Amino acid sequence: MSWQLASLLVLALALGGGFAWYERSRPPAEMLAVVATLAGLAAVGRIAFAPVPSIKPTTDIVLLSGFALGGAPGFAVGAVGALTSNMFFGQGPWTPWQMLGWGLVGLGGAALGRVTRRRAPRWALAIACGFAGFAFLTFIDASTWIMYSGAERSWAQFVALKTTAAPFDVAQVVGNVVFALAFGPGFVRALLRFRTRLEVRWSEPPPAPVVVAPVPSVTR
Amino acid sequence: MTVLAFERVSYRYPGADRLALDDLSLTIGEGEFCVLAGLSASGKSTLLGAACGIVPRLHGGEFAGRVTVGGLDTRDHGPGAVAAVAGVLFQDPETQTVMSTVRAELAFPLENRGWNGAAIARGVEEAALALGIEDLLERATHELSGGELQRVALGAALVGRPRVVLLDEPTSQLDPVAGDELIWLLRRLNEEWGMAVVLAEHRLERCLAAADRVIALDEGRVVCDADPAGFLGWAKTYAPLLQTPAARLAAAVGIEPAPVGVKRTRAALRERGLLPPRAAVDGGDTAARRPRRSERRAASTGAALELRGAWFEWPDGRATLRGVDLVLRPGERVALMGRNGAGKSTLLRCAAGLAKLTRGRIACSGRAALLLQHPADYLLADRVGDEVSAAGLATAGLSALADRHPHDLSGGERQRLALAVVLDAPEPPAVVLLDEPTRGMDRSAREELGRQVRELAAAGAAVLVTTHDPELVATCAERVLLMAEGRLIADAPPADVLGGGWYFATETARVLGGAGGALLPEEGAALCDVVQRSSLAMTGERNLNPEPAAGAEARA
Repeated sequence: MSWQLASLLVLALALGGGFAWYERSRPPAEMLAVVATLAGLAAVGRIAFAPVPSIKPTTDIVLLSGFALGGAPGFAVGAVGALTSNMFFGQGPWTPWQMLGWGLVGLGGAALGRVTRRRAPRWALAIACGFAGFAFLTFIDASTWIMYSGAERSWAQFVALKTTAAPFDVAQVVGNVVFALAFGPGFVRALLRFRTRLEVRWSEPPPAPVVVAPVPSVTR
Repeated sequence: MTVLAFERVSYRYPGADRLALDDLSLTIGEGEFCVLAGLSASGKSTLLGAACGIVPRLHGGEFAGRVTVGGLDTRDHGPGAVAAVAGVLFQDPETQTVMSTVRAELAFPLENRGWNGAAIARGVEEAALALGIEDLLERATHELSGGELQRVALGAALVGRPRVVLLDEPTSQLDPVAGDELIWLLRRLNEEWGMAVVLAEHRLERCLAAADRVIALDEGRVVCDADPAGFLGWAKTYAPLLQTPAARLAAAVGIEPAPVGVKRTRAALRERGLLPPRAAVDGGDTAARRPRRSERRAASTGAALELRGAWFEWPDGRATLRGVDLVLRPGERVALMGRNGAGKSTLLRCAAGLAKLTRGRIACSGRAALLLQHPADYLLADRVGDEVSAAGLATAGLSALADRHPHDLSGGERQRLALAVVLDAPEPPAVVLLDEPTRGMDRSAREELGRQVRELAAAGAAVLVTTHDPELVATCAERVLLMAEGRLIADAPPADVLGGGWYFATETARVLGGAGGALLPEEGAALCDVVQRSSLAMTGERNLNPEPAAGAEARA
């Protein structure tokens, strides 16, 4: 089995697994709506900055969505955002790679949210976003290497690829850090408010009805 | 047969420290017409939210107990399923409309339920006819006036023939005519189709006469559950702020128990010989005349706001202002009334510079502070305390809520906060323009607003308030403008405009038929007192003619 086929198989399994997880969590309609909106925002963020190479808020949006909303929604925002934005940029063999890459960024955000109990200062979010930007690009570079390097695949090729891409990587990381510094905490706050509105604690009423009538009442 | 049952329901909003509903139990039977009474933030809206399942599902928090609507338990059935048995109309109809045209808006609930095209067309037609909005069907929802939108949203709530309809202040944006019509329409639907109605309202005088039952809430608990007469008896002792003006009038002249509604109050007064003779219908002199040239010149110097021959026309030729002449002096408190779509909001927008007159002149001597109909539009921060300065917050009486999210406030609190936002500037405003500021406000908040208006005026600002609430006008305005079809058709003191009207009249004026220009229950009681004394004097065969003196004494 060729590398290409094997990698695509792994991709299909990973993406299938991620979406199955999201579906099995049976998100309520409100969560579906917010995930769709955020995926749209991620795609629009990518399209709006299309003229500027590499500087995109998409990774930030995906990571912060995962941070605030959790793993399965974060994964879905990243994967769907990649798929929809490629309707503009063009679909191709890179689409599943980008879907999985951003899906993993969403998962990473969720992990960060869990570790920090969803309370992280502005600079920490910025560092996380910068790191996620670099990791995402490395993942995409690896996909290029796997898919296009031909029969004589070698580490030297990957190193060469990464070196050529360095200016783009730097631009991406700087962009992600700046975007996170600018809107990170506000974005998280808005999403967390949304999240609290979806979290309901159902309970039974207390067993002994305590009859206290501070204001005398008329009952028919 | 119960259509709505609350079994020991307690609910806490996320992050709130007190319960919004506190161990509340309640059953409402098929075909009952219930009014929910209570002060601002007493839990009326939360109760309605819980009845249709959006509390807690769209608000989060802790929920205990069980709510059953038309046999559906809201724990197991989401708001979508509940919508089939319960129609809902919330406080802000603009947040409730989803489609771009009125026809699509009315069809939407039926489409969601999978009705076929013919059935949808018929359902839409019937709902539109029932609500009198058939002329609006092809209009775009974003260009409707507040009152029209409220009726459209109600149409969308009723189109699926729900078994119970839940309404949160449905008349808050309607003019007195449309408000009364809506209440009687609900009554008709209730009587003819047995639809249960649960209605939360601050202006109880509008709906008490139509109700079978009144449920009063306080801090999330039911404190009174009785028929309207029983409720008024209870309110007299335990919740004076919830009394209707007619009930206060009755209480002031010693009628026990307080009769419900205008007609019965009048009958009770007549029975006791307290009803003053009706004011003669001579039309009075309330005309908004065009000032003479010399007066105009005098007015122009030192006017806070001046409009001269002001026209406002839409690109399609419709005119909403047709030659308005208006001078507001500093320190004047003016109320602007008129039916929905008369051009009141347009006048305010033009005065504040949000819209440009197409003809005519406008001059404002300083900053114009404008508060439009949608208070939520003014709130941008995540904390109430970040919206305005601490001093502004204290003036609005909201200091205790500084850490809440602005959108979690009750309707009345939000309105007060938005008012604080527009007033919060170092430079005091020359003109304060308020568009329907009493929406969602209980009587204490309305009295507070009246006090604030008087303070602003005393500080030198001209205050122009558009409102459909004659009681507010009677308490805080010294001049009333009545607007129709873009023209000012009356400009006179409140007693002259509100005393003689049918629709633009306070409840006291309606009971007394405008006698003596009495607008508020206290004035009415004083007038009745004069009538009583004079009739006693008459029976003592002393020749006294009370009529000319009556008004003067009542005003004094």
